[in-house]
Amino acid sequence: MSLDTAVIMVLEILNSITILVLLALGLALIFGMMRIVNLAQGEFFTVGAFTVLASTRYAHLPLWLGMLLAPLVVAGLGIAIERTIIRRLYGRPLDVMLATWGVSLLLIGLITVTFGAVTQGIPFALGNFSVGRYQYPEYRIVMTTVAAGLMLSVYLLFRYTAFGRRARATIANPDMASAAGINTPRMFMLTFGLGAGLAGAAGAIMAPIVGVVPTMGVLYIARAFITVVVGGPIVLLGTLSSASALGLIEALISRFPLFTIATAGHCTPPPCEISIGGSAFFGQIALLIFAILLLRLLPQGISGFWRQRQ
Amino acid sequence: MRRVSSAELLSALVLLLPLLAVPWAFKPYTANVLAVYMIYGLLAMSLGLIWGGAGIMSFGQTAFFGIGAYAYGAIGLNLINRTQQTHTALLGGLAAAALLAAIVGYFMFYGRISDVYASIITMALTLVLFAFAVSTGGDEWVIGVARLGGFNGMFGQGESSQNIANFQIPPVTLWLPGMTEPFAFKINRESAAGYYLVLGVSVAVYVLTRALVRSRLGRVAVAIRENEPRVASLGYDTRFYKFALFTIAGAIAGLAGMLFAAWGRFVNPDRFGLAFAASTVVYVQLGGRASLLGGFVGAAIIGHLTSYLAEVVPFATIPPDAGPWITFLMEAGRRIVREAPLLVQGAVLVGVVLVLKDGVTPPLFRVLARHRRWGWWLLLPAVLVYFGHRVACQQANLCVF
Repeated sequence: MSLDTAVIMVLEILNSITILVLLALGLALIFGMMRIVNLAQGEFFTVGAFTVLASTRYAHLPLWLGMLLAPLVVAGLGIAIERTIIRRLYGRPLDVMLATWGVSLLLIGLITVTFGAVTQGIPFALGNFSVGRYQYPEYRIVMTTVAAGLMLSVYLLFRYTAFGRRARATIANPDMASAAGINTPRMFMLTFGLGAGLAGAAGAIMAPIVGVVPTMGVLYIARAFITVVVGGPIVLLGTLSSASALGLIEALISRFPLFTIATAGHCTPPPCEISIGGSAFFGQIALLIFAILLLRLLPQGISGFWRQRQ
Repeated sequence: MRRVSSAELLSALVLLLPLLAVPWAFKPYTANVLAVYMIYGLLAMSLGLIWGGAGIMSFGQTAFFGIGAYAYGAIGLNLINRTQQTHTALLGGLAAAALLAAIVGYFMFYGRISDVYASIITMALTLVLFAFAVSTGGDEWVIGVARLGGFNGMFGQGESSQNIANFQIPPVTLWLPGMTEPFAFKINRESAAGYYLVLGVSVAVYVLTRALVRSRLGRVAVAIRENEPRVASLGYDTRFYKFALFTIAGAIAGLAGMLFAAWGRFVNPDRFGLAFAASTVVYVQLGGRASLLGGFVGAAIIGHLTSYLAEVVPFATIPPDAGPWITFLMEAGRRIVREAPLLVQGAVLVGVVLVLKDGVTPPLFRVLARHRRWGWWLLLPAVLVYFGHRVACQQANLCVF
């Protein structure tokens, strides 16, 4: 393998990891801190992307402004849903799951009613840079930077601010936090809003490189959940480590065909064969299988395994 | 508990008896629609078995349904012209679904992952299978003579000039020793055998599953649902009980899938899709998971509601001289109706969780249990409607259903 191929390979692995981190960050916050399985997270992602679409196409705002607007809109939506539905269901994890799935279906339906079931693109003006013989999009580097920035801000927010301390206290022991004078329902609401906003940001950032369509959240929600589950109980480090492991597998399998199977179809031109590996779809399959195997070995996820060793 | 169960038996009979006479009184169309509701009901019952029985929430029960349907279709298409029957296809579909459920169940339950993770893994499984089924549109994706066909669904290969029926998935066809010719279960003007097949399988599986719930396996599963650590500390291998129940439920879902493929003579990736997975959960949630009948009731209610919504709201063309507001409202109404299944499912999921926690069957059973004496009189209006409809059909050609 020549040097430029190796560099491109590293960049693609980095891109896979970036996408998984972006998708999983908000979910890890909501799931890891509040123990809520929010199945509407994929639609928060979709609403973020549609906010960008609506603000650039219909309100003629610049792209960056739409991208800044998206997390705010989605955080507001998240807070509204927390206040009306999820608040009544704390302590009933399965019912939260069903209710948020209902919200997810309603949101898909409403977005389709409003915008139609067609895939729309968002034009943007960043080019490619060249690595030896290859071209690589600059926007992907921007995405990686933003993902790293988001992770760092979440870390700083929860580690060093008064809000972060109160939120962590609420998560660790709600009764004690409440006795100490912390408004715990408000903390749950804000944490949920933050998680929703992060999903909105992910949707906004990824909107220009994927087709914007009402069902786009569904395509990502499974991968996001797998990343969070494999990550385990430590929110940020767990997410980062599982995104790295899964992203590596996904990028490698998507890139390299493993073997081919000959079949009896009538292909033009012959021969008829199925290539296992070497496409984005097999990358996803490999990700799922790897995640299931990993969970068989480490039932608490990667970061739970570290915690046990200590 | 005892009283509720005998009320369940009564309800089961009150539901069953009118269903037996449907092909006699109504058009084949009605039998066709009811058959597919029963197939969905079977699928929902398999979910109710593990959800209500052991507290395992599987979002991906449709994965086993779809695998059963695809396996039946692939084997059936390959063998029907050689052996004239689908015995192997039926066994193969059942085995494929049970095997997939066993593999997934092994990794989930022997890995001791928590219930929430199990839901997520089953959902991811369905979505990945959807992505797989969609990506098989190319000519190279064939199993023998069966093309997987991507979005277009499964068909056999052959000359395009021949009759299309030769390339469709075969109906359930039996050719047992002693029969002079193979017998195909179809639903049409001449025959309601396909309807009775679905009804018979539904009743048989319902009875067997009810026995299973009352057996040792079922009782231990309920104990696991209530308090798993306590059951484990009493010396039961809880992993094995969950694994066994999950595999059986997967096999039932696969059976429903085979009936579906044979009913429509068709299967496409939508069976793995999110909407179908959601609808299955909605059936159980609305019908109630305390009873195995809940799934059937939920399937009938939601199925009827969505098709009713799609029919009743007029799809009339918008007149050119209509004002902007009328145009806007009509266009909006149209779009809402088009998305009605999703909106109804979403609203039911949220509404049932918030308001009607146990679904609709437990209140119904309570009413029936209280008034058991006149429960049988519920059948009287059905008898009147059936006779009235048959007479109107034959005498005045006034068939509605």
